[in-house]
Amino acid sequence: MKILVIVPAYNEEESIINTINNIKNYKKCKKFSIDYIVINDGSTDRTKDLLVANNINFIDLPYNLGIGAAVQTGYKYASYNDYDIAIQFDGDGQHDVNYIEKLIDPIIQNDVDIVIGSRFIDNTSDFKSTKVRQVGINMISFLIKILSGKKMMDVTSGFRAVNKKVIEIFARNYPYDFPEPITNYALIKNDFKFKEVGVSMHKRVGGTSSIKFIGSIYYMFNVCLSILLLDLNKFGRNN
Amino acid sequence: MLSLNLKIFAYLIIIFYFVIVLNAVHKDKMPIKSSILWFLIGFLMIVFILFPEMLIKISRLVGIETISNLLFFCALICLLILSFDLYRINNLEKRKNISLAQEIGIIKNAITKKK
Repeated sequence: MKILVIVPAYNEEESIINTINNIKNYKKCKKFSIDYIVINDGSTDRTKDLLVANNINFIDLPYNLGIGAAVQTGYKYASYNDYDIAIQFDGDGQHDVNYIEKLIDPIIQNDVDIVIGSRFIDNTSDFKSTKVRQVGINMISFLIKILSGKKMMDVTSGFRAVNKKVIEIFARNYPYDFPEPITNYALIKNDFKFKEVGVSMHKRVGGTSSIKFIGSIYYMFNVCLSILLLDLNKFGRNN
Repeated sequence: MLSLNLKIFAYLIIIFYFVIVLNAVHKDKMPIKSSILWFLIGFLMIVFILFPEMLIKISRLVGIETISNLLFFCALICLLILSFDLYRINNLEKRKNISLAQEIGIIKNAITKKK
């Protein structure tokens, strides 16, 4: 079983090497083989130099495409190289490698198509994001519950694992704006099986979040609207 | 009726307009297919200058009191359609562009690995 960790990185010079070293160390102590790929999304700091100097396997995008397109590049890479499972893993040190096994286990058991690493399940995580953002996440989660009848707590989590079927879909079609909540909703709406597992997340080490504090409310509003409009959209229908 | 001065002025503008469109087609800056629309607009302008009564009839037909309002209304609708179309095309191009950038990144990665 081939497993790939996709690590998008935009100006993450402070944390990227640490993140990759964690993955490499984790790899050593596990029976299953895990590969990783860093997507350098047109970073303007020393991220690329560090990646080259440390001999890290990375894709260098010619300019900044944004988080959605950067992650999709990882899924395309996974599809081209015939990976069975792909894991999204942030380059900023927020995610904990030790939960990778917990994340991929339900997929290996063939139970589900997508596993979401959730901050709000089992109280595993001390860090749960800011209050404003939590309210936002709850509202998006509530909307998804109304529309699909399924409860998903951490809809915006960027720490998730998907199986081959979903890799192929994401490689073909992936939204550039608000990718996590939109794809999560689109998948459960189209009867893909999902599971949330409790993971611990850390406060980010370096860089800035793609969802800024002031933008949180705007973000939530936009995501809700996008989810409502998804039925009109090809991505929502075809998958 | 249009005064002679106004007519001359209008014709000058139309000539100028046709020169620009023809030049674009000639220098291959615009595909012939899309130039048809711009020629059509030019011919419409000529027709309306030759027969301004047509405009009066049309404005009565749709219930707009003055011709200038009718013209503004039509121009606004045309511009709206045009900008929507450009927006749509721009988005399609953006997608293709992103797709290309992704493929370039993946190919660069494969080349580096082979070295």
